[in-house]
Amino acid sequence: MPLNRRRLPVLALVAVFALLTACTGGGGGTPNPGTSGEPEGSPVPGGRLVYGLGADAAGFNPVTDAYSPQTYMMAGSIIEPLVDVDATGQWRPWLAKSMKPNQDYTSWTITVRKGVRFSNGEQLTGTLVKQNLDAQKKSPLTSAVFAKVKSVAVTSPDAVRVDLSGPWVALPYTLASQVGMIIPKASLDHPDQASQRPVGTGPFTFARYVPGNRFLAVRNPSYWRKGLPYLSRVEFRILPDPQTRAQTLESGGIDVMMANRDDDILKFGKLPGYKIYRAHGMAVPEVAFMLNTARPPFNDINMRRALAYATDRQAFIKTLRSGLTTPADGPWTPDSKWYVPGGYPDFDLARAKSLVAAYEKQHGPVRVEVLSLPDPTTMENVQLIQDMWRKAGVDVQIKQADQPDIIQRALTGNYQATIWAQFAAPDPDGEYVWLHSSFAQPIGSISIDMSRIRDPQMDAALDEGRSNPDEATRKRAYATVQRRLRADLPYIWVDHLTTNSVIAGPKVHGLGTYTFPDGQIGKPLWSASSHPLFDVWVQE
Amino acid sequence: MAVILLRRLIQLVVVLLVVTFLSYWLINLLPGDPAVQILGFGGDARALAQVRHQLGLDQPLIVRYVHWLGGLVHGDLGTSYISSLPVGASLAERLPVTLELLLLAQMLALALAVPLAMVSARHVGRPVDRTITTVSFGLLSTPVFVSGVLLIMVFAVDLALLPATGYTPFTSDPMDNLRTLVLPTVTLAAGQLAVYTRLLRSDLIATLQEDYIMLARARGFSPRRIMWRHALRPSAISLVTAIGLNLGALIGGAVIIEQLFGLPGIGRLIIEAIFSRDYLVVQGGVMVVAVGYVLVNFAVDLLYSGLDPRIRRAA
Repeated sequence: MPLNRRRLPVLALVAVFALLTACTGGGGGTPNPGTSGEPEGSPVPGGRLVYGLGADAAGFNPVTDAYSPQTYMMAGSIIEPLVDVDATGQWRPWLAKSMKPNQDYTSWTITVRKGVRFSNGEQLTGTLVKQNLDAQKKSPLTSAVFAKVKSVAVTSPDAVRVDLSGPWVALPYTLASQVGMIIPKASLDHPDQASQRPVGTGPFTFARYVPGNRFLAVRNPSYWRKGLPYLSRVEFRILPDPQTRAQTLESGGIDVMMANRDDDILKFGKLPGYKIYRAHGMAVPEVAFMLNTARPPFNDINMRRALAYATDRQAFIKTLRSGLTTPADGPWTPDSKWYVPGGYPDFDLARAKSLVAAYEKQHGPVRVEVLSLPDPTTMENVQLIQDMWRKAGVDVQIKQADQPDIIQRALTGNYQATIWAQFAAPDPDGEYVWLHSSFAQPIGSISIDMSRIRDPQMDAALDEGRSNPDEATRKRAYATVQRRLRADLPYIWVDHLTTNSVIAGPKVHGLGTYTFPDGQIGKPLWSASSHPLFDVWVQE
Repeated sequence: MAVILLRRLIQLVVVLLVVTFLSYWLINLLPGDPAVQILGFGGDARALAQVRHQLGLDQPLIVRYVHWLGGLVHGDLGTSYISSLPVGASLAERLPVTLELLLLAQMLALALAVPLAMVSARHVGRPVDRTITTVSFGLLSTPVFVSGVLLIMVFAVDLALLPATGYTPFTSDPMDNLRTLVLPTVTLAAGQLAVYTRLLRSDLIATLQEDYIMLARARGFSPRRIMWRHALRPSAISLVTAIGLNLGALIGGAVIIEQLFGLPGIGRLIIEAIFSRDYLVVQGGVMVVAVGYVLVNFAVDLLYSGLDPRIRRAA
């Protein structure tokens, strides 16, 4: 799921397929991730940053418009969330001064910072936070996220209490996403206007937006974090073609770009002065093949197991990722505190063949249709897997479909297998809805648990992780989730997509780190490669 | 003339009805749902139903189409499902970009094709003719996404003479506008240049065999005068026809060019709208293209009579 530090779990898959086009191959040479941490001197105020993005936003209103990674970059320079996630993966207050649960985590009290104003002059208050959260609960776009929220009450001029229908320890992580981004009353009252002209408390204010072309934001002189931002203006340019976007960066037409091709990482890693920041940890999405466990042949665990044995992840990474990524065996990366190793089938063609043969003996020849986007890079991924699975005796046909078609099929269960990228929530609870059987529906009905896996042990572990605040208990719960996923195999894992990156030209500084209001260091970037811009500066 | 205009107007209305209905019907046949695009995976069945109802997607196709036609009569093309912007405003914002690109590409292609075809026709079979023919075939067989990337590599990355991508409106900065359009224009014009050169060359060769050309030569007119004043006009019928018919191919090329060079034109708008199932934007875009196609070909018909008096007399 290619979303960023402010990720909204239930919206994340909107961008899945855009990310899948990043599953590119090719390129030789020496990888140089260049996740720059070197000292960059003293910040220089002023200057303009031109930022290349691969797609436009579908609107900037966090209540009504689905945020893509690109939206987070553009709107995120203007609108801020209540909380954010730091470099250790912990949530920390941002616009909120504090966020405290009651004893059993069935209610949370959010206190906002005093003296914070929106660029239109409105003040950040408890009442406004309530209005925002109420609007999110009502919005068809985000209401599912707040299904557990019973009510929001103003308890003081600066505070609200969020009452829940049950314990929810990971609520703050949810508020680190689109649903926790606070807009002024004027924007809530005029949602269409807010879709085109974002207003917030952030380091920049809206200046101009030309759909499909550029988005311009200028320094907010009254930003509540004194002395910030450094840049006078930031301009986002929409450059859909990844190759020409890279060429534009090389020619100096833009200063920074979002990237997801290993070709770009290899190329700019060799060019002097360019810095590459790659996603890591919980922020990294996983590429997998999602199987429909409610339909033959993948309603049979042995066929799912056969495909897992037939998938040579190392060969895949060597062939199509230039060796830049690592094999995945579950939804979380080994450098995450939630990860537990073991139990996932290693490549074993003989066992795969034997399982397929046993299945065929009982049910006849196995024919499988795998969905793929029609673009060449995604097709390369699917074709390589097709070849691996065919060697195990499975007759694999590739069906090309565009994004809306694949989404529709996944939701309604009209598929057997599809290439997929997901699982980049900052907290494992963010994956609840995709894996819990309460979100699984019969084929033909809309099912957010799209693999339609139903596992009582996994359900219990997900519930425990959601409701128990004790970290050791949560770790045990999510270890169970990983073990059950490896046993149930609704996903055939391929790799952790660490090629999501931001590439900055020589004059860009300060992109590698950012600080919270309390001085804590934030992550350079999250899965969708978005990041804050308030502490970025430019110097030739 | 009035009859021709009336006939064309009726034709335009019929074409628009057919094209818009077909495009409406076809895009609705595509699997996928705008409501899912709007809500992503966050929408449960209830939320999806609510959004579909808000957008009117729960009504039969024909009802929605008639509703759209009703709006069209009043100058309202509807509102984008995805961006909530009026479709008319979105098209008005994007149209000048594509028009400018098409116009510049046509002008460049014609400005080069006419003299090249004349040189080629005057020197049939000689090295200069063979060179022009070979280069034309080369340009014809090079896809725009290849030539575009090559041009960027040379002129933007290596020589740093021109911007690789981006667009500045003419009203903001005319010079910068032209600079941003040089590479896209050359890329788009290359294919057209080859077609026009080949076409005009063949017609000129045939015309140069005509008796009246022999007479002009006998009267001692210079080859340049014969070419420009006597041969070009009657040879240009096919060229003019091709210009009209090529508009479709040119728009197709413009879609790729806009994507490649990051130009916010109407082609890119339509493609993005198709992928997000933004039916009304697709509908509006298709209508604009259809109107443009019919109008350009009408202009071509009028040009025929200017080029060849026999056609004028027949009309």
